[in-house]
Amino acid sequence: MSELRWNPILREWVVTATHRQERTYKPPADFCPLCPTRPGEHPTEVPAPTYDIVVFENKFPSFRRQPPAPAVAGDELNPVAPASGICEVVLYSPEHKGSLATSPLSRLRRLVRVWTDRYRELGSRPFIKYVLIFENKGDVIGVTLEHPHGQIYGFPFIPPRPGIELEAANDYWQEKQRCLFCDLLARDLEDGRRIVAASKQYVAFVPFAARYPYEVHIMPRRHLGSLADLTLSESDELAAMLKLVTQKYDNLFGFSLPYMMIMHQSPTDGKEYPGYHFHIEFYPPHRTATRLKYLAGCESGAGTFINDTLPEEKAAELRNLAPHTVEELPDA
Amino acid sequence: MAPLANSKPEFLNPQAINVAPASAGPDDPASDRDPYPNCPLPDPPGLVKERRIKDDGRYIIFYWEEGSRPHV
Repeated sequence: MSELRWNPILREWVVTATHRQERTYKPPADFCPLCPTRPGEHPTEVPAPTYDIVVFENKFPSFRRQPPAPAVAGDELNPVAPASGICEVVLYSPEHKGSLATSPLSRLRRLVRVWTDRYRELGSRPFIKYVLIFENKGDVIGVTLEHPHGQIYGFPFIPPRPGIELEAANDYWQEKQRCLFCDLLARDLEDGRRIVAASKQYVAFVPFAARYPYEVHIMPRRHLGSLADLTLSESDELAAMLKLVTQKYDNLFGFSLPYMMIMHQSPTDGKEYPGYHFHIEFYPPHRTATRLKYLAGCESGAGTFINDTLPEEKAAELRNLAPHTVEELPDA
Repeated sequence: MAPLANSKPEFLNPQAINVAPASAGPDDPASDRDPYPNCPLPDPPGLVKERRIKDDGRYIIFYWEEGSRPHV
């Protein structure tokens, strides 16, 4: 069963998706459901002996194109709605091992184009108001399948965190006819202390009020709302910046750093969002090589993050790690 | 469902939600056939995409680099 239940106190939807309890949990590599289906071996999610990049509907979706009727009846105080939407899985590579950091740049360029295609296609469907492209990476994030992959959720509503950003951006735009993100980026570039890396068309930085010690945002210098607005040159350079940041992460502690990666883009509800600015946010949970940042009482109960580090110091750490520029990356 | 007039930001309004045209159907994979069998968009630059429907009704899309698609 799956449905949306409205919390009138927090003013947010909660998705119940009880079937997800049964999802595949850390199978051995020989039985990876995301590898190609090789002749004579067990069938996987991909009915082909090889592939390059694949997208398919999640077998255990939180949202469905034709959702079931809710398990309970809602009322005025506790609205309930069908969990309408789409959940996709994006397989980055047919190889069982790997990551954005270890993938050839040519593969990442194709991946950015696939993400763009998915944003356009899902966003064109009338019941999808917001397309969230994200990746959960690593055991400590709760990843159940090791094979390099990401996910896409087509939401029937604008989720709260992008919603807050949109409101802030819209208020600023209305007041100043300027982009809040552009102004913050200009200030960060002038200050310099929180910059992790910069290229011709992108800047990677630790935000002024970072929630996680090694939180990094990648933002295009040009004001644009989504992947769909990128030129081909910007699309390819985004691939390079993703590789650069994730390689820095892997060089931080000498292991493949777990993270959550989330793309924040304009909604696809048919309205105009002139003040919004596309960017990608990384949240790695590690605060040292052996210690994690947990979302404990203050974060979970009050909604206020405690960051045990200074963003300026963490940015300097990341900035000093190789690779330093996208020009250092092998062009393959 | 059209959003109701409300002074609150839209994302704080439970009425501001879209529902698929044929929603609230039975929770039966057989009913979950793809309503969009043909991709409405052209292939991404430099890529070729091939859309298939799996046995259980879910869609799967293969993206290949132009000229590199093997015979599968």
